[in-house]
Amino acid sequence: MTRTDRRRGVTRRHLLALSGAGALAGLAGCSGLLSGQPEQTVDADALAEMVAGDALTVPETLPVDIEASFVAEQRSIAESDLDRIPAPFDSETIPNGVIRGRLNNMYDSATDSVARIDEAETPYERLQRANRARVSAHEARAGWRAIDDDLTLAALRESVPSIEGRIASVVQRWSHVGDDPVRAIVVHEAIESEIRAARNWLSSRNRRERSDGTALDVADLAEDLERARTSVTVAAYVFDRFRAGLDTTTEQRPRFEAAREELRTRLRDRQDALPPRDVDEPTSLVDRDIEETTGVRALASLGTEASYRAEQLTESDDDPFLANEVVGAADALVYARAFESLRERLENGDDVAVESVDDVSALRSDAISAVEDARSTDRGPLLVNELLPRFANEIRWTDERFARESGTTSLDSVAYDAVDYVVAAATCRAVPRVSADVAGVLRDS
Amino acid sequence: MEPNVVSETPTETASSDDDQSDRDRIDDWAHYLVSNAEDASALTFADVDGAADARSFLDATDFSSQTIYVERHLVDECFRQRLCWVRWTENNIETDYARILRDADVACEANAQVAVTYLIRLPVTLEPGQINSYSSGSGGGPCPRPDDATPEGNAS
Repeated sequence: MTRTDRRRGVTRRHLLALSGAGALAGLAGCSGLLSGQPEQTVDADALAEMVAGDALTVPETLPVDIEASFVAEQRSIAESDLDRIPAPFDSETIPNGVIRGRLNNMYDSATDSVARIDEAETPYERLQRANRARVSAHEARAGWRAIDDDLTLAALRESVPSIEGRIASVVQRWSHVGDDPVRAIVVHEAIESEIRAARNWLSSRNRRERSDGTALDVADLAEDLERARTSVTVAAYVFDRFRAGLDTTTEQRPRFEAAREELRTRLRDRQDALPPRDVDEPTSLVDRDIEETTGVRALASLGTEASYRAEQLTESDDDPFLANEVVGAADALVYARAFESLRERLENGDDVAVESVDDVSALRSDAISAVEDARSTDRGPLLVNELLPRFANEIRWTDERFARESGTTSLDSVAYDAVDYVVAAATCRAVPRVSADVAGVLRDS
Repeated sequence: MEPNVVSETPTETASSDDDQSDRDRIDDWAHYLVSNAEDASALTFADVDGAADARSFLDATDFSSQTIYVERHLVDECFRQRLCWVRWTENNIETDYARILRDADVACEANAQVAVTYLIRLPVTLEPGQINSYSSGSGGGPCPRPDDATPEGNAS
């Protein structure tokens, strides 16, 4: 007898993550039983204490002068939507508890984003928060209008052509101009990402065609459309600001294409040294006898990422989003270099094993040092600023997992979570050198 | 054996029960077959909406060629449950439901559940003792077609 919940949004990536976690948890639970030994535990309160205090964050930046007035404009659009809905909603205004709960969550998310705009460290992050507020506020207002004002999916769909027109207009006048090619690649990568995002939000047809037309369906579609609007607005603004600030507007596309080819060649040269995308025996990656330690698991994770990304880039057709591919190649090289350096460390005798909270703390400190070193480097700083946040912020996610622990917890599970500290340390150490290399390729192409 | 399928079947809601004090004694999922008039007459109904319709539905069933499949789920009260399809062999019965959000003006609580029972008339005589496998699925969005089934028969 079986019962299933079909159509849940579980992606292949989720399934892989879940099965991996399940397998590891199963092994962790069995190891003590098989050996007749009780499962080893560590002091979870000490782990939580270790990560207490201000979280390490590396803010996202963009080498374009984003005006405070532009951020204020997006904020004002969000506030205008929020002012026009009678939230928080109670059971008299919205009797259906599910719809009421969801609309109140959207409202809370929008007000929270508005309140946190000024806390962000950089203009680019303030802009992102203002746009998040815009999207949540618009979503909440559309949901309320579906209830109060009969706003329908069909009415919302009428706005699609005008958004498509705005995207087409940006794409038509946008080109890969720039003076310094490194600054240009970073800026155009952001513009390409916004254009790609705007198109994706407009084309999320499955969700729109499957919806029933409830207030939440209307809110969902309004959210997609507002995301598309904010993305195209940012793409247009960033391009205009960037171009207006250039002394010379040299077309960089031929240079970017040459750089992409050179970076693909460098990735191909490294591919033989990388493991297959699915690593069955992580210890086989190290040329000595070693247990499956935290460091060995981190090595497998780095190798898998490097292989996957290298394969994607070396086998892809030429993507029109050229800057995305060049920056993607830099990401792949970071993973490849991190894989090589960690393997060397393990083969030289360091087990990178976790036996205690002190071991975890040492791995975390090493990761933080790697981030600080990368931030203070003068090697390819524009690319360091571009690449570093996504690698460094892995530390914060792991901190948040440990912060939720209390009492005692399984050593095996802690050793598994600490993998991300090792990955963060290795990748953040690789970022400056890869940034310098990629900057050199761009300038020499 | 190739399963028989009825899709988009009009369904008969026999009873619902929103008495939260009864939650402990209501299984999340229950099912059984009614294969003769005697068993059908022995069924009793709580005093809820749909009970009279359910009794009429049972009375109108020809057990010489039909069987009633009774299936009950606990459903979040802010959602309706709609039967998408049922398919069967002589050993197996499967159902699939769509979960549909009720309108905004329907008073309900996000965490409350109600018991909903479906009486599903199958155009075949089945032996309850021979059914050794039951399954049931549900999800949001429109009703899907069963992946590997050949539609057969008319909606009952």
